Amino acid sequence: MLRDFREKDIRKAIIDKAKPRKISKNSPHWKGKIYVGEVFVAKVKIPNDHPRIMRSSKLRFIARDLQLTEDQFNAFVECRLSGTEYYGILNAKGTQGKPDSEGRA
Amino acid sequence: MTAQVNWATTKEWVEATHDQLVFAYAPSILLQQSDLTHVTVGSELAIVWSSLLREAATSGRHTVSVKSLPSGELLLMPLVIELAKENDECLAEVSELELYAFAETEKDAIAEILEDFDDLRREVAGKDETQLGEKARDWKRIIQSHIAQ
Repeated sequence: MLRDFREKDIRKAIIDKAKPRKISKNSPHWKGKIYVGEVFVAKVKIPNDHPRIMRSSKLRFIARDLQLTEDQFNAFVECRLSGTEYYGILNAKGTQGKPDSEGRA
Repeated sequence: MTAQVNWATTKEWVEATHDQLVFAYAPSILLQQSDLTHVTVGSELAIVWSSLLREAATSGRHTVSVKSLPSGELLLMPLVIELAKENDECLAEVSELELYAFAETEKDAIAEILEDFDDLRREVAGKDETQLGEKARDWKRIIQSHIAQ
């Protein structure tokens, strides 16, 4: 089950651990793109730097964007899951680009 | 105008959305905005539509199919946006692309999700399959079914 988190803590975890390569700041919410190497694997909306608690109805979308289960997402924000471990999860999910005709990924 | 349809609500939805939206209040019924003025009092369509509107207003769940982007670009296939009320906000979703937006009004939620659609489209455009993860490959394929790239 997703726990209650402050928007600013989720934001910090995303920026520090998921390290979105491209962040679009034009919308009400920042939008980031996550790459593994040169491969585009995920997009995520980044909450505002605000102390209010984010409802689980919104959190589930962010967890999905990050390609994490609810338990993994809780650990991600609570610092029990490091950035390296997060990228390990992404790699394990088959997020690599499709090999080209010569078998290079 | 007809008393069989909740016109106040309808008007609000019409004003809140783009001219070229097609309103879909049930999977089998599509109603063009231009049709709104052609529903006559007591007609079968008015009665059916009144019932559907009442249901949509109660549950807050309905869909709109967008046929063109805010830029005016026509889509090859309509983009279906699911709308629902979540607490005091409006939630818009395009499930197949994992796009979502929360906003105070349907108009704002739709506008944000169309912006996200365009943003994602730009991100996957020009990338070959070796540069896209599994989900991103699916997104590109789906986007290409809506837009000639």
